[in-house]
Amino acid sequence: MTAERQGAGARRQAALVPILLFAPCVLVYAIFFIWPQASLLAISASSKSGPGLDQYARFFGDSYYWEILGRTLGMGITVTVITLVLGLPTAYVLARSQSRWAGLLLLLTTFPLLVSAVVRSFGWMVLFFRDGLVSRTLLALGLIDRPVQTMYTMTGVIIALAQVLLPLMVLTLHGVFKSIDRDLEYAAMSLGARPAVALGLVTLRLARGGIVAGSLLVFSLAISAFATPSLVGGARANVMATAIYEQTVELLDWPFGAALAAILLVVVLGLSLAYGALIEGRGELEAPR
Amino acid sequence: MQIELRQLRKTYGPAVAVAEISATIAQGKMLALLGPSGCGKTTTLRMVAGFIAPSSGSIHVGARDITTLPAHKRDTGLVFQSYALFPHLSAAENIAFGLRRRGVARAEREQRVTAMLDKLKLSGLAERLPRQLSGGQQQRVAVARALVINPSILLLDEPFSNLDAKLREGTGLELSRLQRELGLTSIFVTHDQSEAMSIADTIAVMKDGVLQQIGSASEIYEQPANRFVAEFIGRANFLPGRILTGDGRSHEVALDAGITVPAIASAHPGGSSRVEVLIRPEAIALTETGRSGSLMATVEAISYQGATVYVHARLADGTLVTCATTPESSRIAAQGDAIGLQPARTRLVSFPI
Repeated sequence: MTAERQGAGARRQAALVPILLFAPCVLVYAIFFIWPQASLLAISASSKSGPGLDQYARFFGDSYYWEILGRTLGMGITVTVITLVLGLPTAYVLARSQSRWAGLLLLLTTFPLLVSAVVRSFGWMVLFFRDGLVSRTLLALGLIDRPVQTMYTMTGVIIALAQVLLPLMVLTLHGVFKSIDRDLEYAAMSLGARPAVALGLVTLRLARGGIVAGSLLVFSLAISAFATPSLVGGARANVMATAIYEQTVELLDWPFGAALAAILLVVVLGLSLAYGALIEGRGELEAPR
Repeated sequence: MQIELRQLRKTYGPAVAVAEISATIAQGKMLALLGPSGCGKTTTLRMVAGFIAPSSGSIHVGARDITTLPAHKRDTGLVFQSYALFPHLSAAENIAFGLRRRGVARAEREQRVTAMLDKLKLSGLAERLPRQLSGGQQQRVAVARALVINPSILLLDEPFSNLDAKLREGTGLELSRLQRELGLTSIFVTHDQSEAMSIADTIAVMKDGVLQQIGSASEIYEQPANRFVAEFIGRANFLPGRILTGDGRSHEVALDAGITVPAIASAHPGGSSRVEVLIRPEAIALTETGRSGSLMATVEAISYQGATVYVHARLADGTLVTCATTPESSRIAAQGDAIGLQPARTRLVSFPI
């Protein structure tokens, strides 16, 4: 009887443990994310004459803002594709390498993350100006016949963002490839699959979850990046993040800034879910073994 | 098809993984590569499978030199230690994988997969994912996947090491039956000597990348080429002594422990007259003390195993000797007793020190 009661008590205590472990995170998340986000939504739903959706009407009624949204998404997608194309083979080779240098090389790929966005952007400026290294090298190689200005262009922003976000893609994919037993590829080959087929049917298929995670990580960081677009891109590379900054800090139009933020959030969320469902096939996030 | 390894060697920079191995496996026979971990057995198997390129030497299957042929063209059935089942495919899809790669038409594919499922007692589990199968079932799916493509050779990398002891023996015999029935020439990697002895026709014992001895189970057990092989296969007692008389092949050895025994010289006799004589536990009989030709010892421990009883006894000079005897014969010994140990007059092998 007593033992039974004790057992029940212990079970209740055991049930409390996950809640207690979860609580700090939930609390921080609620105070510093959910609450401000909710206030932001509230602000966006106000206008001079009281509550209303005027701000949203203004956004969707003006092609200028549609253009900004389109530019932002285009930038995010391009950066994601570039990091995926460059990161996938890098991560695969590093994960499969037996060399003792592999660990060091992986560490090296994370170097861009250690430099502040502002310093990194100034670095790109030095390279990108009309008289900078990039332009002069291309001229010397005879690939172009007059100096190019990469500074203050979308191309420059995309190159700079891809550079800093590539490590995140490589690290995510590296972890995933490491967790996939190499014998699976060997098994596929012994069954008659040429190496490329084995890679596609087995390794990449099992890495889908990681590819989704890495892409979403890079995409969401790219479209919310502020320092790089504003320093490298300037006025010609106006994206959502810089537009929000402009509205709230320079023009002090908080409701419209809040509406821009809310629209960006919804669009990103929608695209992420669609992308996840597309890559995962049946829409399930299944971890490889 | 016959498999032939010719002076196969693999080095990684200065590190030697496989020093040199030559072996011929006749059509339908099974060779076990046996040795402790790091002995080069898995490297050898992976060279035959085509995953590792040999540094030198060649591999022949039938009349064909496959040394440089890529893995996917080798037509080998391979069973991995980890089974390496594709986790996202069902048992049936796993088995069908190789048939799809070969472009086998759907109807035939389904029929062959079903036949294989039946053969390995997996019917009813076709739609299960690997993680929904027990270890033994996963192992059978791995075997089915390797066999369904009708490979010209079968390679097995420690296929039973993840199964529990009871399951291991039955699965081993079952696999050996399938292999003989299909007439598949096979190479089988293991670190377990009893597994190798029970299912392989020929055993190649390896150590540090060097082939120590190759032969049938009885050859390797009864005439080990060196001390390592003698100790790795079964249990072994070694007693030091000096050669009295004899030719290069057999001689009389005066053991330091006090008696004289006949012994056969090992494959590599040295020049010196000092030798160690291998006496297998079952070649020692327990007797009462003082009988001529027996060694005096004190019983230290008795380990009862059912059919066999191991009696561990210590000689006067401190050497521990293990005897294997029947429960009946062991009754004369009790812990702490003085006892006589009588080595058999045959089956003793001497090794130069």
